[in-house]
Amino acid sequence: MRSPLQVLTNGLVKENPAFRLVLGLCPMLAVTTAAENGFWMGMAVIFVLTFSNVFISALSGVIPSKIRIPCYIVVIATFVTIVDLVMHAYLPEMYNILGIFIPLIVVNCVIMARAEAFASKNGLLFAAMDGIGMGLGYTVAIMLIGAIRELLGTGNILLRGVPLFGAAGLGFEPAIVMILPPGAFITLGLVLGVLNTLQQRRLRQRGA
Amino acid sequence: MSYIARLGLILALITAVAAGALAYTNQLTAEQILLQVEKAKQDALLEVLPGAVGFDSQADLLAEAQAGDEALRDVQEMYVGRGAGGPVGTAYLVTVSGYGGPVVIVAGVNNEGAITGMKIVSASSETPGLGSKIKEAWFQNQFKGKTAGAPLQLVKTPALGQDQVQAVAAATISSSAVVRAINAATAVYRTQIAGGDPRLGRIKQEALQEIFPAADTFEAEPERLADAVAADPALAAATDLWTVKRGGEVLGTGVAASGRGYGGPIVAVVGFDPAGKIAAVRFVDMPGESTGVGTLIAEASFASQFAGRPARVLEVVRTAAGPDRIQAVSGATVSSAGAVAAVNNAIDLYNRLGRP
Amino acid sequence: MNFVGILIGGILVNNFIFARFLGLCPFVGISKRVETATGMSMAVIFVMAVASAVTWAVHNLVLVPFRLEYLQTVSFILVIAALVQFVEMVMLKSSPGLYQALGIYLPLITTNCAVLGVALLSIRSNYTFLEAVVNGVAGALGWSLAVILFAGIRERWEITPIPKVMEGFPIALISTGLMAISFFGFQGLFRTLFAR
Repeated sequence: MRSPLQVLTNGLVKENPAFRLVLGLCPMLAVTTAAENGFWMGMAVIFVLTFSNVFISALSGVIPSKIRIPCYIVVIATFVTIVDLVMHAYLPEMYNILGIFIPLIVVNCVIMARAEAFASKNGLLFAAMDGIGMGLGYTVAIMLIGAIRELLGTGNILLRGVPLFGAAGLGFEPAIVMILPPGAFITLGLVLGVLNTLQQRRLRQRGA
Repeated sequence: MSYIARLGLILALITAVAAGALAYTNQLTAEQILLQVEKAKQDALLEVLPGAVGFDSQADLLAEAQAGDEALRDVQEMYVGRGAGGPVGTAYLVTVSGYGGPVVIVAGVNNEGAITGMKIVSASSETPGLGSKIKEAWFQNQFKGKTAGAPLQLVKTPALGQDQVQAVAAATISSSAVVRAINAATAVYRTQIAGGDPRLGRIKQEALQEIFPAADTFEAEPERLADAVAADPALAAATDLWTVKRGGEVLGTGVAASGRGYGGPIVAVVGFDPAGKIAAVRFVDMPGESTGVGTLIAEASFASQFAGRPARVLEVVRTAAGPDRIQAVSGATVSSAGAVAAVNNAIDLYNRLGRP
Repeated sequence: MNFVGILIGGILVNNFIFARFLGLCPFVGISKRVETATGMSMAVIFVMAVASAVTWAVHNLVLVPFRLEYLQTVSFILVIAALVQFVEMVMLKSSPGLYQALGIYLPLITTNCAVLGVALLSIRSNYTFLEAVVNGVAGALGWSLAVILFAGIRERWEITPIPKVMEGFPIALISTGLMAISFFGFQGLFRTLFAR
């Protein structure tokens, strides 16, 4: 039997929803023009994923399997709307930047996939841990992509308006294409390629 | 209970609970959302129109401008900025589409027709690091002090002209969206404020009709007026000149002129009959006078004093009226003096042009 | 904005895949062959046009009058899910041929964020009913153009030697990135055609 901690780290590394399962691509590419955007998108996903996992796990005895999908959709959409309203009220600037990708969390495959594959079959604690773990894994991934694109595309990384590498930046001519749409595809493609390489090397070492 | 009905009931129950939870969350956040939207706008308005302490929405004026020009639909809100001593200018909220989505700006124009400032309220869909550079201070500050009298032009080289601004490098679409927004705002300014308040134009016409009830045509003569003002800049307080006719017969002359009152200009419409006497006077606009005190100059007890007097410079006195003397409204001496000054300015122009 | 502007802009400049990042999961999922890509495209065009119209009506005739805008996300996703189910049933009854061609794609569409995305975009842009429908059709046509072109490219690299670690998602994403660069060319065209 797995421990709750194992469930948590599973989402972070082994079954990272973004890098290993390649789920939830759209926001992964759309909002990653800056690391900070990725952070807030990740927070929103953690919130929705954890709460919808918990509720779906709790309701799994009540919901007949025939109508489980519409029920999941309603539960997920409710938490998405709560995030949307709260962000609009307290983080207006970020709300404007993330735009329709906040309500679109509702169709993010990560959430539905975890509800169907994990939350509906596990207890409350495990469901919560899975939600947090998967959410954190997604956040780390989306922030990494955001940081790479922001650094290469603007020459610096802004956190709460403060440049991470000093006002002058790192002193190279930024490649603007990285923060434009093509840069999103290419960055994620290369990152996945690098991760594949690392994994293969690890497998080979283990095999040898 | 059939199986289908049970399914429907469960789904309806879950949906109802969800809707309830959302209604509650909405209630909790609605005020804060409204507050921060309103606050962001107020802050921006105060910033672009220095000296203003409050803003009065001018939805009617804006709607009028947009009825005449579809292209002005981008301007969403228009305000008159209230300062300590009367209106200090107008401010505009404009939304245009930039590179990735809406760009929202506010801009202020002072009474002299200069842009006092502009601020980009939201440009969150512009590409970070490129289009989003329109938020940088050097770009926004370029607009300060530029004329609102003509559309601005976007140039890629360092801007030289009074009507030019320099684009952000590699962000031409975002930059031109901002210029388009500013130009929409100044276009509203030009049609509604600089060219004279159109409502005021109608009120002047109505006043003239009252003064000359028998007349059927009022021929505006802007060229004659402009020539006279060019020859003697002291006559600039006169803003309109009409020749009043019925059929082909000249009934008299109408002049609109302003004088300085208590809190702003006072506009008088003065009718002169062919004999060179004042037919009647109407005070049509006095935005800065205190209601119930200064505004009493519009009452017949004061305004009717002018009728029948020869076109000679008048004096304002507190005691009884006499030849060339007008009795002030008690308690509103400054307003009365402004009113008489406005009439005197009209008389000056009339005397300079000679009788028709 | 005029209809031609929305249409051309939606297909070429603000392309759902290359500029707006909407509908990526099915884009990667069903683009292995041109034939399946075309089938899915037809289904998406149909559903997005109808969904745009229905969600516009739900928003402007129900949510706004009753001040229920906060139920937008919930109601839109339910309406879209119900709509897809309904279309599937009608298709099965009325034209089994069409159902056989498109039916298997329909359940995938509910979770296609392009459908919900275009509905939300139309509402946020304050489009009129017709503009919203045109926007839906334009978005779907743009998505279809992207997915069919991509399937054509993909059919070629499926038989090309590629480094093992780049197979699958990595090469798909990089190819899409290169296509997005080439689609930049249309921005110039759009600016010249619709310059004010």
